Amino acid sequence: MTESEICDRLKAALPDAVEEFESQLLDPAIRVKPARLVEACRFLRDDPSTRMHYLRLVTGVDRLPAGETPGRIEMVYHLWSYEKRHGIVLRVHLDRDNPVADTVCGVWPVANWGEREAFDLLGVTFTGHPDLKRIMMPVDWVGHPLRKDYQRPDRYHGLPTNRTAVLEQGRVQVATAEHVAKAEPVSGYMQLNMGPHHPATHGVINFLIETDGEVLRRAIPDVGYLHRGIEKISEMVGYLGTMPYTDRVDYLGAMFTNHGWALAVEKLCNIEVPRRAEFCRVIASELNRIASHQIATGALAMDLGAFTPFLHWIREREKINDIMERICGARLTYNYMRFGGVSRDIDQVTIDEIRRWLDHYEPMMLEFDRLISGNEIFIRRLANVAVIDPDDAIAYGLVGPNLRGSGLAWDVRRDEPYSIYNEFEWDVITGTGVHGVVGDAFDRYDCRLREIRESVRILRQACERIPEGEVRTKTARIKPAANEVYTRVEGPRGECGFFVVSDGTDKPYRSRFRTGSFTAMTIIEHLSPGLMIADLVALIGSLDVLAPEIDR
Amino acid sequence: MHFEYSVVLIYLTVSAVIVGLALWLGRFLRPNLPDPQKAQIYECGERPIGSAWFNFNPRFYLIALVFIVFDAEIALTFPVATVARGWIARSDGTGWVAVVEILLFFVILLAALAYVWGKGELDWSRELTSPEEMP
Amino acid sequence: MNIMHYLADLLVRSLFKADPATWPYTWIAYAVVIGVGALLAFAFVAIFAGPVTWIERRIAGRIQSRIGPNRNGPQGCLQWLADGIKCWLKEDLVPATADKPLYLAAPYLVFTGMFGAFVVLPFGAHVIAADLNVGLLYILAVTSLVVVGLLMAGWGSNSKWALFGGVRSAAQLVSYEVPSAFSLMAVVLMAGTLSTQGIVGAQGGWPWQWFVFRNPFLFAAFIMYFISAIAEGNRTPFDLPEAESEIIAGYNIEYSGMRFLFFLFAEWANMWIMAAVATLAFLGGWQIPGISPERIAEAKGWTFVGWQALSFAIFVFKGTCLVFTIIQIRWTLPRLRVDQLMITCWKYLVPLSMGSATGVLLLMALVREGGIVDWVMRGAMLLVGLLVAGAYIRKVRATFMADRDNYKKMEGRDLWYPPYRLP
Repeated sequence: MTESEICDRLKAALPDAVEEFESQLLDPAIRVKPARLVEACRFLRDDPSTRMHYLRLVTGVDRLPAGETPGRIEMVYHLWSYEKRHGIVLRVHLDRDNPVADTVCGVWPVANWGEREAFDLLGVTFTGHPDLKRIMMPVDWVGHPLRKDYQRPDRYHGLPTNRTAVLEQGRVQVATAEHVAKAEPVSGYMQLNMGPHHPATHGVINFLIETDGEVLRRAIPDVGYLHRGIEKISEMVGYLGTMPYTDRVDYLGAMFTNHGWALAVEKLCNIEVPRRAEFCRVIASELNRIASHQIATGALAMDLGAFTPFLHWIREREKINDIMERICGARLTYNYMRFGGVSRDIDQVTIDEIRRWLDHYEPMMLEFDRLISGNEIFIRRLANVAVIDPDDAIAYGLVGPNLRGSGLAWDVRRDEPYSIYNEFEWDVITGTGVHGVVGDAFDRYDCRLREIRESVRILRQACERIPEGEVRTKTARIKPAANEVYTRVEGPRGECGFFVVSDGTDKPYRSRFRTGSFTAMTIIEHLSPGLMIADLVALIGSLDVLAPEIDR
Repeated sequence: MHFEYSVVLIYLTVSAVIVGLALWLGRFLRPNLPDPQKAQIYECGERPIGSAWFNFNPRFYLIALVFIVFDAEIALTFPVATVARGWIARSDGTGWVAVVEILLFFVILLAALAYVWGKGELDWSRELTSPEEMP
Repeated sequence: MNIMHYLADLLVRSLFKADPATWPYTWIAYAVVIGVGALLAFAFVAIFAGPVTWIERRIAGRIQSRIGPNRNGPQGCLQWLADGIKCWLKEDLVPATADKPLYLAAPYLVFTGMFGAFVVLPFGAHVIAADLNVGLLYILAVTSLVVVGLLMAGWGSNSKWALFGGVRSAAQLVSYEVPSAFSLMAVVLMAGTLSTQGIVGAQGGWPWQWFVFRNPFLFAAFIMYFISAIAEGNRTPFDLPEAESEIIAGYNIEYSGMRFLFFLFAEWANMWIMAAVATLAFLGGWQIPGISPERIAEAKGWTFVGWQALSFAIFVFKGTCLVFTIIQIRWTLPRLRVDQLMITCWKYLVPLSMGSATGVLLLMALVREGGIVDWVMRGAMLLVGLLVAGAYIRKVRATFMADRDNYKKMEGRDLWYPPYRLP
């Protein structure tokens, strides 16, 4: 169904809920009344012709008063249906001085954290939310950073927030006051922090676990240790200036965030990308995907106690890093894509190098399998552990290998095609319950391993067929008209989405990154009762969460 | 045999003395700069919640109980095991006394193990007791 | 003859020109000689535990396709010394809320428990500190002190992670003592004595005289003892108490400096004890093939010393081979979860080890020593052992061949070397 048909359907069912159908946007949106938001969401999810079970993104946009238009905060909900392959954007306008909305957590559990982020960074209160507290900023922070009129407080518990003042002040003794309010200790259970500084949480993530010895009662993720405010920074540095920042959002899959950001701006400005540039993008992206999956599977093995496979994979990844260095000059944070193409050409020497490396690499994947995938202890640790069934996976917003490991065959490269992926021959990998139930931790691990093989296939075809031509369209200064767009790419951690609101200037009005790890964290609390600590480590490793992706 | 045991005693004393000596000598070599931040317990960078001296899961206690039973069996079987060879070599029937006695003891203990196994005490139960039921 | 006794008497006779039976201060001489012996044993432990960490890190490096420490000293062989001195010079932090007596006393117990087992290890034909007539039982008993020490460390640190590590470790060590004791009981049944020298004496130098190849139950007992010993030593795949990726350092979390070093020291020396007990109980200990213990006892002068040195070398060689196996296992396998660990112990190893002890007992009662059935069993088990070793070598070679051609393709690139060759 097209967006206008969906809007008609919604109007037919709930006549006075729809205020306006904004068809001039690149992603047409339906504006609903705030009081009827939950009803509309529930209808769109349950109606047999729309069936939008997947809430992609919950965003808040702050609009300052301009002329006669009063200030408002817009909550934007991107919905999607895997079955019907259609989606729509819902929007509500909230009063800027007292933004209150109803929570949609009852409809899609994944909205929990998105709404917490809107509360934290924009000040929107959600009635009915089970646990509305700050997520990125410390619990006792004053102010809402993403607001356009936000003033940073001068001091936070005696520490200056101004960088120069901090450097001048030198070493300061932080008062060990009880200013961090954690959950109340529940009698009978041991509460401890599997804290930010821990080898098995992939990055600085804190888990508050309540355990009775070995078996968990609950594991509550606590994020925000790596929040750098990249979305706010993008509003200040402009479109091209954000490109290096997108590397740091997912540092293991930097090409994908680059690609997504470039796609968003290209869609806003209607820029064509030459064919050779598309091939370069695909080659660089698939190489990056292999590197990222290597780290993911190796780190999972290392968390389970087998240190050796991780180092073997790092050895292989070094060669990918060398190739990336030849391509774009950097080994980890590439900053390679530009609006209208890529920054540098991949010369023939590098392509031959890639081919030679692929010949070397294909048997190495078998070496890894021989080392760890068939190991009885490894299988016992992962099979039938933390099983996620497909309905839960969609409701909690899992994407990428996590979603495909539960059996749902959805790959953004094939199903919402971008670039030239549909010109290559490759398969979408799903979990098959090879050693246990479909959707267990081993399936997610296995999906990643098999995806590496598919990436190798794509790489071979791309190296074969890369045409001659330019690698970058000359563009004028990027100044897209006022519009909104949501683009997504399939990164190694799943759908990497970019919601960009432009306003006619050369700096984005609002940008929001939708990352796979952010939504994957919500399911950890849901799955944790009954797991053992060792299983929690296996779950985190199999979900392949990455701290900078969660916190941005 | 007294000599042998005095050797053991001196060994154990020497080992304790070695540890103490190394730590005492180190006192002159290592820095000692106490700081309240350094003296805090490490809990992955966050402040610990509550005390660590906690009533632990009774699962561990059950395992210790089962171990005690088997340990007592081991301790009592070793003397018979030591003399079994000599008795069998005598080949006038005393060998069979040792064999039957050990077998009987093992059978009783295996029955105990089977009982514990069947009752499910050896599996790590994953049901969570609610806080009210905790001891 | 007791070598300490002999040496002390020699000392008294030569230095003080007195008859050891009448001289009033003979016991001082004994104490001094035994103390020197203890220090020599500690020297052996230190010389073993130190360089073996370097060897382990180099082996781990090769397994993981990297180099390992190679800076301190030629090829890095003084790395352990540098690490030891560094640890010694570190501040001894005691947490403010820790239970001080328990916290401070834990390293003593752990170290004493480990070191005490060296008294009865038969390093050579007469190179043993104290040939207790309950040697093996004494080893089992004194290594249990380590359990108490680890619990004290875990509880005394007042850290939840440490408590996890301490209690897990206590549960694990305590559970795996049962199959290890039953496997050793099979050996004791066969040897008829608990004394370690007696057990070694009941075997011979040639492989078909070792206990491991005598009958299939003892073969199984060897494997079960080996697995239980690895679990007792907190090594992967059983290193839950110090599982680095789950509970950080487990019971070691709050320790620093020399105290921490003693825990580590105890772990590496424990590796040696495991290997040594397996060697003496199953692999023939110090026995020299073809030379009987009586012949060694009758030798005089330098021949006597020569036999001692040779038997010492054989014992150390066999022990070191097992230590290498333990190191290889550690760097290859992932770790078991705690309930899987308990199931392995109580549902598999305990019944099987009891079964092996029973089997040995019945075989001893029914089969005559030296008869035709005995020799058939020995030959069959030797064959099985050779087949297992051969299969292992073949598998290693096949893996190597499969990858060798692949590595050849990348030859010649900058900064690239195949994993099986040092740069």
